Amino acid sequence: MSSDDELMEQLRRIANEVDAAPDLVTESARAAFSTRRLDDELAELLHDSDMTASAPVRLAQPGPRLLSFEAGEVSLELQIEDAGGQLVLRGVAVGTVGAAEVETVTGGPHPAVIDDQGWFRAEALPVEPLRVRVQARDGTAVTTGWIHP
Amino acid sequence: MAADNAALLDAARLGDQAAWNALVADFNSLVWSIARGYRLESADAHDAVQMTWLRLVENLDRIKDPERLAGWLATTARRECLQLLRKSGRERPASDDMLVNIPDPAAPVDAALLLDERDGALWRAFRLIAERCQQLLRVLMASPPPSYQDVSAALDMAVGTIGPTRQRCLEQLRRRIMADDSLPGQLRGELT
Repeated sequence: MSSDDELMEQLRRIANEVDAAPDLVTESARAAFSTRRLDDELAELLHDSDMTASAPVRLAQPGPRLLSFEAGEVSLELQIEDAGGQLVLRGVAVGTVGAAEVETVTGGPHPAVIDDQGWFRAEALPVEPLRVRVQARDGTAVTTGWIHP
Repeated sequence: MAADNAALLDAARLGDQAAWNALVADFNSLVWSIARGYRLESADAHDAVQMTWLRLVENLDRIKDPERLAGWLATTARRECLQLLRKSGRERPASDDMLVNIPDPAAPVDAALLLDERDGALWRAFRLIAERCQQLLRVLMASPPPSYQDVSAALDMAVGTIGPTRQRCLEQLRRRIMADDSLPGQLRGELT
């Protein structure tokens, strides 16, 4: 008769053998560190349509995903849509200067011009985690948290 | 551990990749086990784990209590997993009914990989017990063994229910092995 602890230990050993994190997963966990931005302010997520819509609603209406972020005087409204295996991001920025930068986790930054109404867009983005970086009027760089598309 | 965490977090905040890698080495098994516990198939599990670590990077300066790091990672991993499940429409309301047995949509881990006959039998039996039991036990299989506080954060279960539930789930696993007529009686005896 093996005790619960012994049985648990056997299971742990087997899991390590047949279901350990693949090397690729460990590598991407390590590589995540390169995304650190020391001086940026992290914008607060105020709304994410993916987090509020219930599954049936979301499935019935596969519209674009809508997200709102805020940091001080800066606010960002984002709309993300999967267009045939590539992402299209449209956004409205308030309280920013200069261009926006859309960064995907393995790709480089995609600069996006912000027009005088505050609109910007980035197209043909790979389907992977992304974030948006803008500059506040006082010069602070503001970055959204990573968004899993 | 907490002292280690504090030192590693401090070093990582200063940009030390080696310290970060050490955090990954300490906790990636927990994060991965949570994703597998939620039955995410390999690609989704990868996404959930990656998102969890990306969130730690962006929140490095906000982790005030190094002792809570594992719990923070567990909570974050749970949210990422639930969001992925919601997206794929697989989220089901949590059920405490341990007798309900739902087929596993995740890719089966090949028990044939196991050279040891007993290990293979044990793993096959594990894949047949109730979903909630598989979930709890899979998270408990993380190395090093997670605290019940961290399991509580990973599964949104009250800490006090984890011990008794673990006991019931292991009992269910034993019954499953006993019911496996393809196993020689001696093997069944050894496993249970």
